[in-house]
Amino acid sequence: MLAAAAGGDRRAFAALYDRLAPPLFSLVLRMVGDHAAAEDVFQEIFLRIWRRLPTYDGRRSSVFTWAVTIARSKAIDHLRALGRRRQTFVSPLEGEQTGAAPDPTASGDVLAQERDAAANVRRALAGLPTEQREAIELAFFGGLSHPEIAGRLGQPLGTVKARIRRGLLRLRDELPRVGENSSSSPPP
Amino acid sequence: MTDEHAQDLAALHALGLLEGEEAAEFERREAAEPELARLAAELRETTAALALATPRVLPPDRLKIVLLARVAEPLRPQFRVPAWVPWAAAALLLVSCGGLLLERERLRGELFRLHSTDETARSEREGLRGELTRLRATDALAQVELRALRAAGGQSLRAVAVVAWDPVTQRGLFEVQQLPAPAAGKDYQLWVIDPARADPVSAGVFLVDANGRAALRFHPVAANLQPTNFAVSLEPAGGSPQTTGPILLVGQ
Repeated sequence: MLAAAAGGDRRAFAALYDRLAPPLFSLVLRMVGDHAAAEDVFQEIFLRIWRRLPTYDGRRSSVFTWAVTIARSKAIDHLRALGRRRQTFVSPLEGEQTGAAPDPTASGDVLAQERDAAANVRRALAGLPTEQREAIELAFFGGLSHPEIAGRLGQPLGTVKARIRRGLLRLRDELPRVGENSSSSPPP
Repeated sequence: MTDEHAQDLAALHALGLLEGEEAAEFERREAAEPELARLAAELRETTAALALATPRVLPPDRLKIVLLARVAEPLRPQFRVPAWVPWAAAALLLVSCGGLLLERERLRGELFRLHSTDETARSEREGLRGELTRLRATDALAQVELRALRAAGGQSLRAVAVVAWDPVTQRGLFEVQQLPAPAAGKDYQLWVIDPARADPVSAGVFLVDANGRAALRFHPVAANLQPTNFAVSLEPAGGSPQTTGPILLVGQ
Protein backbone atom coordinates (compact mmCIF):
# COMPACT_ATOMS: atom_id res chain seq x y z
CA MET A 1 0.00 0.00 0.00
CA LEU A 2 2.78 2.44 0.94
CA ALA A 3 4.77 1.81 -2.22
CA ALA A 4 1.64 2.23 -4.31
CA ALA A 5 0.70 5.47 -2.56
CA ALA A 6 4.26 6.76 -2.94
CA GLY A 7 3.96 5.99 -6.64
CA GLY A 8 0.91 8.21 -6.96
CA ASP A 9 -1.82 5.60 -6.51
CA ARG A 10 -4.63 7.63 -4.99
CA ARG A 11 -6.65 4.60 -4.01
CA ALA A 12 -3.69 3.39 -1.92
CA PHE A 13 -3.32 6.89 -0.50
CA ALA A 14 -7.01 6.87 0.41
CA ALA A 15 -6.49 3.60 2.28
CA LEU A 16 -3.48 5.10 4.08
CA TYR A 17 -5.62 8.12 4.92
CA ASP A 18 -8.30 5.88 6.44
CA ARG A 19 -5.72 4.30 8.78
CA LEU A 20 -3.94 7.49 9.82
CA ALA A 21 -6.74 10.07 9.81
CA PRO A 22 -8.42 9.29 13.16
CA PRO A 23 -5.30 9.44 15.38
CA LEU A 24 -3.79 12.38 13.47
CA PHE A 25 -7.01 14.42 13.52
CA SER A 26 -7.46 13.68 17.22
CA LEU A 27 -3.90 14.82 17.91
CA VAL A 28 -4.17 18.01 15.86
CA LEU A 29 -7.48 18.93 17.44
CA ARG A 30 -5.99 18.44 20.90
CA MET A 31 -2.98 20.59 20.02
CA VAL A 32 -4.63 23.53 18.25
CA GLY A 33 -7.85 23.43 20.25
CA ASP A 34 -10.07 24.83 17.50
CA HIS A 35 -12.11 22.63 15.16
CA ALA A 36 -11.92 24.88 12.10
CA ALA A 37 -8.18 25.42 12.49
CA ALA A 38 -7.67 21.70 13.09
CA GLU A 39 -9.39 20.92 9.77
CA ASP A 40 -7.12 23.34 7.89
CA VAL A 41 -3.96 22.03 9.55
CA PHE A 42 -5.14 18.46 9.01
CA GLN A 43 -5.53 19.03 5.26
CA GLU A 44 -2.03 20.50 5.05
CA ILE A 45 -0.64 17.53 6.96
CA PHE A 46 -1.97 15.03 4.48
CA LEU A 47 -0.89 17.11 1.52
CA ARG A 48 2.62 17.07 2.95
CA ILE A 49 2.36 13.33 3.54
CA TRP A 50 1.29 12.87 -0.08
CA ARG A 51 4.19 14.97 -1.39
CA ARG A 52 6.80 13.39 0.87
CA LEU A 53 5.75 9.76 0.58
CA PRO A 54 8.32 9.08 -2.16
CA THR A 55 11.09 10.07 0.27
CA TYR A 56 9.79 8.16 3.31
CA ASP A 57 12.53 5.92 4.72
CA GLY A 58 11.11 2.88 6.50
CA ARG A 59 14.48 2.12 8.09
CA ARG A 60 14.28 5.27 10.18
CA SER A 61 10.76 4.95 11.61
CA SER A 62 7.35 3.40 11.12
CA VAL A 63 5.00 5.29 8.81
CA PHE A 64 2.82 6.13 11.81
CA THR A 65 5.77 7.76 13.59
CA TRP A 66 6.74 9.60 10.42
CA ALA A 67 3.18 10.87 9.99
CA VAL A 68 2.86 11.95 13.65
CA THR A 69 6.12 13.90 13.29
CA ILE A 70 4.70 15.74 10.28
CA ALA A 71 1.41 16.35 12.10
CA ARG A 72 3.07 17.79 15.21
CA SER A 73 5.38 19.96 13.13
CA LYS A 74 2.43 21.44 11.22
CA ALA A 75 0.39 21.96 14.39
CA ILE A 76 3.30 23.68 16.14
CA ASP A 77 3.92 25.87 13.08
CA HIS A 78 0.26 26.88 13.22
CA LEU A 79 0.47 27.75 16.91
CA ARG A 80 3.69 29.73 16.41
CA ALA A 81 2.24 31.60 13.43
CA LEU A 82 -0.57 32.72 15.66
CA GLY A 83 2.03 33.81 18.21
CA ARG A 84 0.39 31.91 20.98
CA ARG A 85 0.33 28.77 23.00
CA ARG A 86 -2.81 27.44 24.56
CA GLN A 87 -3.08 29.30 27.80
CA THR A 88 -4.92 26.49 29.47
CA PHE A 89 -3.34 23.15 28.82
CA VAL A 90 -5.48 20.10 29.43
CA SER A 91 -3.73 16.79 29.71
CA PRO A 92 -5.27 14.17 27.46
CA LEU A 93 -5.67 12.06 30.59
CA GLU A 94 -7.90 14.73 32.08
CA GLY A 95 -9.91 15.37 28.96
CA GLU A 96 -13.08 13.59 27.91
CA GLN A 97 -12.63 9.86 27.85
CA THR A 98 -15.73 8.98 25.86
CA GLY A 99 -13.24 7.83 23.26
CA ALA A 100 -14.13 6.25 19.96
CA ALA A 101 -16.65 7.96 17.78
CA PRO A 102 -18.42 5.40 15.58
CA ASP A 103 -16.30 4.70 12.53
CA PRO A 104 -18.35 2.81 9.94
CA THR A 105 -15.30 2.22 7.76
CA ALA A 106 -13.19 0.38 10.35
CA SER A 107 -13.55 -3.31 11.04
CA GLY A 108 -14.22 -4.49 14.57
CA ASP A 109 -10.72 -5.99 14.82
CA VAL A 110 -9.04 -2.73 13.81
CA LEU A 111 -11.07 -0.70 16.28
CA ALA A 112 -10.39 -3.16 19.11
CA GLN A 113 -6.66 -3.12 18.37
CA GLU A 114 -6.55 0.67 18.31
CA ARG A 115 -8.61 0.90 21.50
CA ASP A 116 -6.17 -1.46 23.22
CA ALA A 117 -3.18 0.54 22.00
CA ALA A 118 -4.74 3.79 23.18
CA ALA A 119 -5.60 2.33 26.58
CA ASN A 120 -2.05 1.02 26.98
CA VAL A 121 -0.53 4.39 26.19
CA ARG A 122 -2.85 6.20 28.60
CA ARG A 123 -2.10 3.69 31.30
CA ALA A 124 1.66 4.03 30.78
CA LEU A 125 1.44 7.82 30.76
CA ALA A 126 -0.67 7.85 33.91
CA GLY A 127 1.88 5.60 35.57
CA LEU A 128 4.68 8.15 35.21
CA PRO A 129 5.66 10.37 38.12
CA THR A 130 3.68 13.59 37.80
CA GLU A 131 6.69 15.79 37.10
CA GLN A 132 7.85 13.56 34.24
CA ARG A 133 4.38 13.26 32.74
CA GLU A 134 3.79 17.03 32.90
CA ALA A 135 7.05 17.82 31.14
CA ILE A 136 6.39 15.30 28.34
CA GLU A 137 2.79 16.39 27.85
CA LEU A 138 3.74 20.06 27.67
CA ALA A 139 6.33 19.19 25.02
CA PHE A 140 4.29 16.73 22.96
CA PHE A 141 0.75 18.10 23.18
CA GLY A 142 1.45 21.71 24.16
CA GLY A 143 4.12 22.30 21.54
CA LEU A 144 6.30 24.20 24.04
CA SER A 145 10.07 24.45 23.68
CA HIS A 146 12.10 23.12 26.61
CA PRO A 147 12.95 26.64 27.88
CA GLU A 148 9.19 27.38 27.81
CA ILE A 149 8.48 24.16 29.69
CA ALA A 150 11.12 25.11 32.26
CA GLY A 151 9.48 28.51 32.63
CA ARG A 152 5.99 27.04 32.90
CA LEU A 153 7.05 24.54 35.55
CA GLY A 154 9.39 26.94 37.33
CA GLN A 155 12.28 24.52 37.01
CA PRO A 156 15.85 24.77 35.67
CA LEU A 157 16.49 23.63 32.09
CA GLY A 158 18.64 20.73 33.23
CA THR A 159 15.89 19.45 35.51
CA VAL A 160 13.34 19.57 32.69
CA LYS A 161 15.69 17.69 30.34
CA ALA A 162 16.27 15.01 32.95
CA ARG A 163 12.52 14.60 33.61
CA ILE A 164 11.82 14.28 29.89
CA ARG A 165 14.64 11.76 29.44
CA ARG A 166 13.58 9.62 32.39
CA GLY A 167 9.90 9.79 31.43
CA LEU A 168 10.45 8.78 27.81
CA LEU A 169 12.83 5.97 28.74
CA ARG A 170 10.28 4.66 31.20
CA LEU A 171 7.51 4.86 28.62
CA ARG A 172 9.74 3.04 26.15
CA ASP A 173 10.25 0.26 28.67
CA GLU A 174 6.61 0.15 29.84
CA LEU A 175 4.66 0.26 26.59
CA PRO A 176 5.57 -3.17 25.17
CA ARG A 177 4.80 -4.81 28.53
CA VAL A 178 1.48 -3.09 29.32
CA GLY A 179 -1.34 -5.57 28.69
CA GLU A 180 -0.22 -9.13 28.14
CA ASN A 181 -2.79 -9.98 25.50
CA SER A 182 -3.21 -6.62 23.90
CA SER A 183 -1.12 -4.56 21.60
CA SER A 184 0.51 -1.27 22.44
CA SER A 185 1.47 -0.84 18.84
CA PRO A 186 0.00 2.05 16.92
CA PRO A 187 -1.26 1.59 13.38
CA PRO A 188 1.56 0.55 10.97
CA MET B 1 26.35 2.53 26.99
CA THR B 2 24.95 5.84 25.82
CA ASP B 3 25.86 8.66 28.17
CA GLU B 4 23.19 10.72 29.89
CA HIS B 5 23.88 13.78 27.76
CA ALA B 6 23.31 11.74 24.60
CA GLN B 7 20.17 10.25 26.13
CA ASP B 8 18.93 13.77 26.90
CA LEU B 9 19.57 14.78 23.31
CA ALA B 10 17.83 11.67 21.98
CA ALA B 11 14.76 12.32 24.14
CA LEU B 12 14.60 15.99 23.20
CA HIS B 13 15.14 15.16 19.53
CA ALA B 14 12.30 12.62 19.61
CA LEU B 15 10.01 15.37 20.90
CA GLY B 16 11.25 17.83 18.29
CA LEU B 17 12.78 20.07 20.94
CA LEU B 18 16.27 20.32 19.46
CA GLU B 19 16.99 23.16 17.08
CA GLY B 20 19.89 24.62 15.19
CA GLU B 21 23.36 23.50 16.27
CA GLU B 22 22.06 21.20 19.02
CA ALA B 23 19.98 19.29 16.47
CA ALA B 24 22.90 19.15 14.04
CA GLU B 25 25.24 17.86 16.80
CA PHE B 26 22.79 15.15 17.73
CA GLU B 27 22.25 14.04 14.13
CA ARG B 28 26.02 13.79 13.62
CA ARG B 29 26.34 11.59 16.68
CA GLU B 30 23.31 9.53 15.67
CA ALA B 31 24.87 8.84 12.27
CA ALA B 32 28.17 7.81 13.86
CA GLU B 33 26.99 5.80 16.89
CA PRO B 34 24.79 2.74 16.21
CA GLU B 35 23.75 2.42 19.86
CA LEU B 36 22.60 6.03 19.96
CA ALA B 37 20.81 5.57 16.64
CA ARG B 38 18.95 2.57 18.10
CA LEU B 39 17.94 4.55 21.19
CA ALA B 40 16.82 7.50 19.06
CA ALA B 41 14.65 5.25 16.89
CA GLU B 42 13.06 3.65 19.96
CA LEU B 43 12.29 7.01 21.51
CA ARG B 44 10.81 8.30 18.25
CA GLU B 45 8.39 5.38 18.19
CA THR B 46 7.58 5.83 21.88
CA THR B 47 6.93 9.53 21.40
CA ALA B 48 4.69 8.99 18.40
CA ALA B 49 2.60 6.50 20.38
CA LEU B 50 1.64 9.35 22.70
CA ALA B 51 -0.69 10.52 19.92
CA LEU B 52 -2.93 7.57 20.81
CA ALA B 53 -3.52 8.99 24.29
CA THR B 54 -5.87 11.64 22.90
CA PRO B 55 -9.58 10.83 22.71
CA ARG B 56 -10.42 9.54 19.25
CA VAL B 57 -12.20 12.13 17.08
CA LEU B 58 -13.01 11.33 13.46
CA PRO B 59 -12.44 14.00 10.82
CA PRO B 60 -15.50 15.01 8.72
CA ASP B 61 -15.93 12.91 5.57
CA ARG B 62 -15.78 15.98 3.34
CA LEU B 63 -12.12 16.53 4.29
CA LYS B 64 -11.25 13.26 2.61
CA ILE B 65 -13.21 14.18 -0.52
CA VAL B 66 -11.51 17.55 -0.81
CA LEU B 67 -8.10 16.07 -0.06
CA LEU B 68 -8.40 13.35 -2.69
CA ALA B 69 -9.52 15.97 -5.18
CA ARG B 70 -6.51 18.13 -4.38
CA VAL B 71 -4.09 15.29 -4.99
CA ALA B 72 -5.95 14.18 -8.11
CA GLU B 73 -4.31 14.08 -11.49
CA PRO B 74 -5.90 16.20 -14.27
CA LEU B 75 -8.99 14.53 -15.72
CA ARG B 76 -7.91 12.00 -18.29
CA PRO B 77 -8.81 8.35 -18.78
CA GLN B 78 -5.95 6.45 -17.13
CA PHE B 79 -8.20 3.67 -16.00
CA ARG B 80 -9.88 0.66 -17.51
CA VAL B 81 -13.10 2.04 -18.94
CA PRO B 82 -16.14 -0.21 -18.67
CA ALA B 83 -17.48 -1.41 -22.04
CA TRP B 84 -20.63 0.66 -21.82
CA VAL B 85 -18.74 3.95 -21.36
CA PRO B 86 -18.23 4.59 -25.08
CA TRP B 87 -22.02 4.33 -25.49
CA ALA B 88 -22.48 6.91 -22.75
CA ALA B 89 -19.91 9.17 -24.40
CA ALA B 90 -21.55 8.57 -27.78
CA ALA B 91 -24.92 9.51 -26.33
CA LEU B 92 -23.46 12.73 -24.98
CA LEU B 93 -21.78 13.39 -28.31
CA LEU B 94 -25.09 12.91 -30.10
CA VAL B 95 -26.75 15.37 -27.79
CA SER B 96 -23.94 17.88 -28.33
CA CYS B 97 -23.84 17.35 -32.09
CA GLY B 98 -27.60 17.64 -32.25
CA GLY B 99 -27.31 20.97 -30.57
CA LEU B 100 -24.60 22.05 -32.99
CA LEU B 101 -26.69 20.95 -36.01
CA LEU B 102 -29.63 22.95 -34.80
CA GLU B 103 -27.40 25.93 -34.22
CA ARG B 104 -25.94 25.59 -37.71
CA GLU B 105 -29.38 25.42 -39.32
CA ARG B 106 -30.44 28.45 -37.37
CA LEU B 107 -27.43 30.33 -38.58
CA ARG B 108 -28.08 29.23 -42.18
CA GLY B 109 -31.56 30.57 -41.99
CA GLU B 110 -30.30 33.75 -40.46
CA LEU B 111 -27.71 34.06 -43.22
CA PHE B 112 -30.34 33.66 -45.93
CA ARG B 113 -32.57 36.28 -44.37
CA LEU B 114 -29.78 38.78 -44.17
CA HIS B 115 -28.61 38.22 -47.72
CA SER B 116 -31.27 40.49 -49.15
CA THR B 117 -30.77 43.49 -46.82
CA ASP B 118 -28.54 46.56 -46.76
CA GLU B 119 -24.90 47.30 -45.77
CA THR B 120 -25.56 46.87 -42.04
CA ALA B 121 -26.94 43.44 -42.72
CA ARG B 122 -23.90 42.66 -44.90
CA SER B 123 -21.50 43.26 -42.00
CA GLU B 124 -23.67 41.15 -39.73
CA ARG B 125 -23.61 38.45 -42.33
CA GLU B 126 -19.85 38.43 -42.31
CA GLY B 127 -19.86 38.01 -38.53
CA LEU B 128 -22.26 35.08 -38.72
CA ARG B 129 -20.17 33.43 -41.41
CA GLY B 130 -17.23 33.53 -39.06
CA GLU B 131 -19.30 32.02 -36.27
CA LEU B 132 -20.56 29.26 -38.53
CA THR B 133 -17.00 28.42 -39.50
CA ARG B 134 -16.02 28.21 -35.87
CA LEU B 135 -18.91 25.92 -35.05
CA ARG B 136 -18.08 23.62 -37.96
CA ALA B 137 -14.54 23.35 -36.62
CA THR B 138 -15.66 22.55 -33.10
CA ASP B 139 -15.01 18.99 -32.05
CA ALA B 140 -17.63 18.39 -29.38
CA LEU B 141 -16.05 15.22 -28.11
CA ALA B 142 -12.60 16.69 -27.38
CA GLN B 143 -13.87 18.88 -24.55
CA VAL B 144 -15.73 16.07 -22.75
CA GLU B 145 -13.92 14.77 -19.71
CA LEU B 146 -14.45 11.27 -18.37
CA ARG B 147 -14.01 10.00 -14.83
CA ALA B 148 -14.69 6.51 -13.47
CA LEU B 149 -15.93 6.19 -9.91
CA ARG B 150 -15.30 3.20 -7.69
CA ALA B 151 -15.89 2.26 -4.06
CA ALA B 152 -14.30 4.73 -1.65
CA GLY B 153 -11.66 3.39 0.76
CA GLY B 154 -13.22 0.98 3.23
CA GLN B 155 -16.44 0.49 1.26
CA SER B 156 -17.16 -3.01 0.01
CA LEU B 157 -19.34 -2.02 -2.95
CA ARG B 158 -19.04 -3.64 -6.38
CA ALA B 159 -20.69 -0.66 -8.03
CA VAL B 160 -18.92 1.20 -10.81
CA ALA B 161 -19.91 4.51 -12.29
CA VAL B 162 -18.75 6.95 -14.90
CA VAL B 163 -19.17 10.66 -15.31
CA ALA B 164 -18.87 12.45 -18.64
CA TRP B 165 -18.49 16.16 -17.96
CA ASP B 166 -18.71 18.97 -20.52
CA PRO B 167 -16.89 22.00 -19.09
CA VAL B 168 -18.31 24.29 -21.80
CA THR B 169 -21.98 23.59 -21.15
CA GLN B 170 -21.36 22.78 -17.45
CA ARG B 171 -23.48 19.67 -17.87
CA GLY B 172 -22.70 16.06 -17.29
CA LEU B 173 -23.86 12.53 -17.78
CA PHE B 174 -23.70 10.03 -14.93
CA GLU B 175 -24.25 6.30 -15.12
CA VAL B 176 -23.82 3.71 -12.41
CA GLN B 177 -24.21 -0.06 -12.28
CA GLN B 178 -24.46 -2.61 -9.46
CA LEU B 179 -25.39 -0.06 -6.82
CA PRO B 180 -27.79 -1.63 -4.32
CA ALA B 181 -30.96 0.20 -3.37
CA PRO B 182 -30.38 2.50 -0.37
CA ALA B 183 -31.98 1.89 3.00
CA ALA B 184 -35.41 3.34 3.67
CA GLY B 185 -35.26 7.07 4.26
CA LYS B 186 -32.00 7.45 2.34
CA ASP B 187 -31.03 8.65 -1.13
CA TYR B 188 -27.86 8.55 -3.18
CA GLN B 189 -26.51 11.98 -4.04
CA LEU B 190 -23.96 12.94 -6.68
CA TRP B 191 -21.37 15.61 -5.91
CA VAL B 192 -19.03 17.71 -8.01
CA ILE B 193 -15.69 18.48 -6.38
CA ASP B 194 -14.12 21.77 -7.35
CA PRO B 195 -10.98 22.62 -5.33
CA ALA B 196 -11.81 26.32 -5.66
CA ARG B 197 -14.89 25.75 -3.53
CA ALA B 198 -14.91 24.96 0.18
CA ASP B 199 -17.54 22.22 -0.15
CA PRO B 200 -18.57 19.75 -2.84
CA VAL B 201 -21.40 21.01 -5.07
CA SER B 202 -24.55 18.92 -5.28
CA ALA B 203 -25.45 17.45 -8.66
CA GLY B 204 -28.69 15.99 -7.34
CA VAL B 205 -30.08 12.78 -5.92
CA PHE B 206 -30.84 9.73 -8.02
CA LEU B 207 -32.66 6.44 -7.84
CA VAL B 208 -31.40 3.05 -8.95
CA ASP B 209 -33.61 0.53 -10.71
CA ALA B 210 -34.10 -3.09 -9.71
CA ASN B 211 -30.78 -3.94 -11.37
CA GLY B 212 -28.84 -1.34 -9.41
CA ARG B 213 -28.52 0.91 -12.44
CA ALA B 214 -29.11 4.62 -12.85
CA ALA B 215 -28.42 7.13 -15.58
CA LEU B 216 -28.98 10.84 -15.44
CA ARG B 217 -27.99 14.11 -16.96
CA PHE B 218 -26.99 16.69 -14.38
CA HIS B 219 -26.51 20.41 -14.37
CA PRO B 220 -25.17 21.72 -11.02
CA VAL B 221 -26.66 24.94 -9.80
CA ALA B 222 -23.25 26.53 -9.20
CA ALA B 223 -21.65 28.21 -12.21
CA ASN B 224 -18.16 28.07 -13.69
CA LEU B 225 -17.27 24.79 -12.11
CA GLN B 226 -13.87 23.28 -12.80
CA PRO B 227 -14.25 19.89 -11.22
CA THR B 228 -11.34 17.65 -10.51
CA ASN B 229 -13.44 14.81 -9.17
CA PHE B 230 -16.90 13.47 -8.48
CA ALA B 231 -18.35 11.44 -5.62
CA VAL B 232 -21.53 9.68 -4.51
CA SER B 233 -22.67 9.76 -0.90
CA LEU B 234 -25.60 8.35 1.04
CA GLU B 235 -27.81 11.13 2.37
CA PRO B 236 -31.20 11.52 4.05
CA ALA B 237 -34.12 11.17 1.64
CA GLY B 238 -34.31 14.19 -0.62
CA GLY B 239 -30.61 14.96 -0.33
CA SER B 240 -28.59 17.45 1.67
CA PRO B 241 -27.12 20.85 0.87
CA GLN B 242 -23.76 19.46 2.04
CA THR B 243 -22.40 15.97 2.46
CA THR B 244 -23.50 14.47 5.74
CA GLY B 245 -23.35 10.76 5.04
CA PRO B 246 -20.60 8.32 4.09
CA ILE B 247 -18.86 8.65 0.74
CA LEU B 248 -19.57 5.47 -1.21
CA LEU B 249 -18.09 6.11 -4.63
CA VAL B 250 -15.30 8.47 -5.56
CA GLY B 251 -13.42 9.18 -8.77
CA GLN B 252 -10.21 7.33 -9.39
